This record gives sequence, structure tokens and C-alpha cells, in this order.
Amino acid sequence: MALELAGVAKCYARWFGLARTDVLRGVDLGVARGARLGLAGPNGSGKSTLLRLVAGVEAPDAGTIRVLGCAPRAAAAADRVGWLSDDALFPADMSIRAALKLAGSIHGLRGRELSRRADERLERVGLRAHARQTLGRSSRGMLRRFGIAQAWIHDPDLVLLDEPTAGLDAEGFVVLHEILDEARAAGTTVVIASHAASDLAERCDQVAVLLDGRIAEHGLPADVFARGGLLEIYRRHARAAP
Amino acid sequence: MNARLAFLAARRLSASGLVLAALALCVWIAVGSGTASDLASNGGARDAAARAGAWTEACWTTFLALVAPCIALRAASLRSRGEVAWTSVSRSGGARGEASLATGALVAVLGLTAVWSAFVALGPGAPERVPGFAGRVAGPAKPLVDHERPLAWRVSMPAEPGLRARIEVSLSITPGGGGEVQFTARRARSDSSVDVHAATGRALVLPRGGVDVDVPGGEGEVEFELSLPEPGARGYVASDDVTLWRAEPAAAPKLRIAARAVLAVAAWAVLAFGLGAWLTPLLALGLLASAWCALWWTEAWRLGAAIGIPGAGLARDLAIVAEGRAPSSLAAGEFATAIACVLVGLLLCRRGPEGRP
Repeated sequence: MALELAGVAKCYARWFGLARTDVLRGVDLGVARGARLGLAGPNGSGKSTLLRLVAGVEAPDAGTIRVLGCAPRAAAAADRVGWLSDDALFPADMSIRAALKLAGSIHGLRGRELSRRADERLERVGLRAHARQTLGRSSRGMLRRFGIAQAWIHDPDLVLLDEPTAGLDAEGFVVLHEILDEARAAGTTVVIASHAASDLAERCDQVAVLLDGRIAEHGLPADVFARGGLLEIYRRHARAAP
Repeated sequence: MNARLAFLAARRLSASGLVLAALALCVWIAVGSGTASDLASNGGARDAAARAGAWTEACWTTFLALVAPCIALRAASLRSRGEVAWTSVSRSGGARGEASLATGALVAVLGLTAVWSAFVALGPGAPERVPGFAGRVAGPAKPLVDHERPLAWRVSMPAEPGLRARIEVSLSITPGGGGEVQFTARRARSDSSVDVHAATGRALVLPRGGVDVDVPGGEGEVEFELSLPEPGARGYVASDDVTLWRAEPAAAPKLRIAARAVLAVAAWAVLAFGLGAWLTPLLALGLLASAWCALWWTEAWRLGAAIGIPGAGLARDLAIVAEGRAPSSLAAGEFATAIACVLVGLLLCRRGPEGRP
């Protein structure tokens, strides 16, 4: 398995620890190597937190996570994980090319290989012409394209994409779908968190719906969306909740 | 360590605009409202060393008041700008990423202080050797002195040749607020029977000032005597102790202040970097500025200097430099405390909340 989660829980302290918010309440999930998992859920359901835990950015309060057979931080440290975060706080004061080279360098790429890979990825996501533009002056769609390029710059085995289509234009969608197809051919496992049911239904092997910190639905896209879209799923579970 | 991350941090800390503005302010001080020598003579300085000292003090005070807080603010915001989370999903993540950013911050501090030191070096310099701080010995037990009752006391002194002793005296309670002060040092023989070496220094004090005397060479205790030759004169000893000075190279004041400023700004910048993991950058700066002000303007500097907190004695060292003298050279303990501060900053950063503050 590329990804195994068992009983994963995470809460955040508020009011200097006097109160807490449970974001994940026991998530069990498994993703096979080379598969593509779509992660859906309303705002605040815990999608981004789940990806941060898998990326090793944060540690769970309970439960276990295995990423490519090892602990999340170990997998990340071995440069086997690519991550596009939701907030994508890339250095706004750097040019697109310099920031992409920085991304490559933190994954251990050096010298000509780094330059070659950066130029190749810029070409792939259609940002070559904007390479000298700073990220701070880039549109949201361009930042998403940059985020996609940096997530793949080191050819990871697992890629975590948090809202990759947010702000993308039509051409950006095409680029993303082509990159996802190339990733599938290369055997890369991909987890996509998105609000777009169509993306998840068309591009993923399986879909998991997170509601209130738990996996409410998990299965093939056709089965999950058999009785309606995401809104219907959310409403159905809201009615069923005690 | 990741060189690109370090470079990114260094670039962000190099507040070039502010540095230029501060440099312009110093140039304006020098040539706009009067030259550095005018500035010094207005303050009562009488020689080239004091003019150089006044210039050095003005420039470094400007740096510490304007540029250093900006460096600390930028250092505090390094951790909260997202790169730490972003880079953590890599081999350069976590402690390595933070160490890279801290290294970049240190490089920037070194670069900025080097530029500043070069600028200070362009100003007036002392033409010959200057007195350099060599230590302290006990002052008189009673502070009050008058024409009828001079103060005398004995202290153990090192046998180092060429030392000068200095004491601060205030004659503000003398009618007219000033007068001549005489300071004598006698090196007694071991049997204390005969004074074999003696020296006397005199100074006109209006109403407060220092008076220096050459300490006679040789072994044994030294007897100091402080007297007021003019009838009716009264005063009191304004310093806690007698300071000792030895001749140092003319460049010593500038070099030693620069070294202390580098050490202080570097240590405090990395502390700001660590606090930035817990607090917003402005809060982190406020916290550090409060501690800095306490060290700068209150008696807390004595404790801070005693335990070697970087920059704790900078205000006093700048005052020494302004008199055309050189502060003490850096002690190994000061380096050790600065390194400890850097490690505390890194630890704070490592232990900081995972999300952005």
C-alpha cells in the first residue's frame, strides 16, 4: 500500500489550551500504489489537515500513518512525497524560476540537473514565458500551476494535491489532467482533495468523503456518486446525524 | 543545510532601503548639521580621539536604534512566511530548513554590520594610541570629599606597567559648581614604610568629570588619594569604583564596538527568529525590544553584562567610546552566551507550533 491510515485523530487547541477543536476523529483509509484517491468534504471537514498529516508537516494526536511503508516524516525526508498545500505560501518575493529551483534544491537536486528539471517543469505547466515574474505578482491560477510544478519537480512516488484546480483556467485544467495521466503511467500515487465532484468522479480510482472528521463514504466514484452529487451526500449524512 | 534557503533568508533580512536611509542619516549628521568634529566639540570633547569616538557612537547608536529592530522584525517573520511548512516535506525540512534560514539570517547580520563598520571607518579616526579598558578596582569607602578631608584608600593592583587609573567626581555641591580635582596614586613598598613611586593627576571638573592618574609600576598595594585643592570645595565620588586603562591601538574603539554589535544583533536576530515561531513578528519584536530597553536604560545591564548577555553593556561601551576610549575586548564568555542565545532561538523555532502563529 502507498498509504495506510488507522484511527488517525487530530485536534487543535484554542484559548491557550482551555478549549480544543477535533478536526479528525479516527480516520481509517488505504490507498494502493499507483492509485488515485479523491478526497471530498465541506470546508472544515479535515481534508487539508489529513494531507498535512500524510505529508509529515504535522503529527497526529492518535492513530498510525504509513506512507510508502514508512513514517510520514521519513518518507518526506527521503524526497518521495510531493505536496501542494491549500494556502501555498510560496516565497512571493522570488521569481517563478528561482522559486522552482529552490523547490528542487530542497529535494536534493543540484547544478545542471536542477536547472534542466526546473525549465522542463515550467514548460510543462505553461509558465516558461513568465519565469522571471515574481510569485507575488502572479495570478492565483499561475500560483496553482507553479504549485503543481513544484510538487512534481523531484519525481515523487506520492503526490498530495490540496485543491489543485482552485483558480485554474481551462488550459490549466488540461495541463493538470495531462500531468495526472503521466503520473498514472509512471505509477505515482496521487491524493487529490477537491470540492469539484466532476474532477473526482472522472479522474480518481476511488473517492473518500470526509464529514466532521470521519470518513463518511469511501469507494469507487460510481458507487459514491450513485445517489447524487457531493451536496446530496452532505445533506443525507446531516439528516442521519443524531 | 540548504544554501538557497539560507540565501532567501539573508536576502529578506538585508533591509537595504533602511540601511541606506540610516547611512544617509549618519552622513547628514556628519555634513548637514555640522561635521563630526563640531558635534564632538559641542559635547565637550577636546581631542581627535574623542571626535572619532563621538562619530563612532553616533553611527552605531543609529544602527542599533533603526536598523537592528528592522533586522529582528524580519527575522521574526521568517518562520511565519510559510517556507518552513512547505520545505518540511523534503530532505531539507524540519531542523535542517530552520537551520538554513537561521544561517542565512546570521550571514545577513554579518553583511550588514560589515557594511556599517566600513562606513564608520570612513569617519574621523584617532591619530594615536587610545586608553583601553583594563579593569576595575575598589573606590573609596565614603563618597563625600572636601578641601579639608581628602579621601584615601588602598587597593591590590596588578603589576602591569603603563596602567592609568580614572575616577569620576562631581563637584555640583561646591559653590560655583566646579573646581580642580587632584588624584594621586602611590605604590607602597611591601613593608609600607616609604613611598617609592607616586604620580598625581589633576583635572578641572565642571561640575562632573573624570580625573586620570598614571599608576606607578612595581609590586605591592597602591594607595589612592582624592583631594580638592581649592578652599571650600566639596564633592562626591560619582563612580562606584576606579577604572583602569592601558594604551591600545587607535582602531580599538571602532573594532571592539563593531564586534560587540555583531554579536548582539546576531544573537538577538536568531532569538527573534525562534520567537517568530510562537508569536506574530510584531509581538516577538515587542518582547525583545522590551528586554533590550531594560538592559539599555536600567541597572539591569549590570546583571546582563555579568552573565554575558550579548549587547547588555553596549550602551556603556558606547559611552566609553564617545569619550575617546576603547571598551574591553570581547571575552570568551560573551561568545559562549551568544552561541547559547542562537541555540535557544533554534530550539524555540524547532519546538514552535506547527501551524503559523
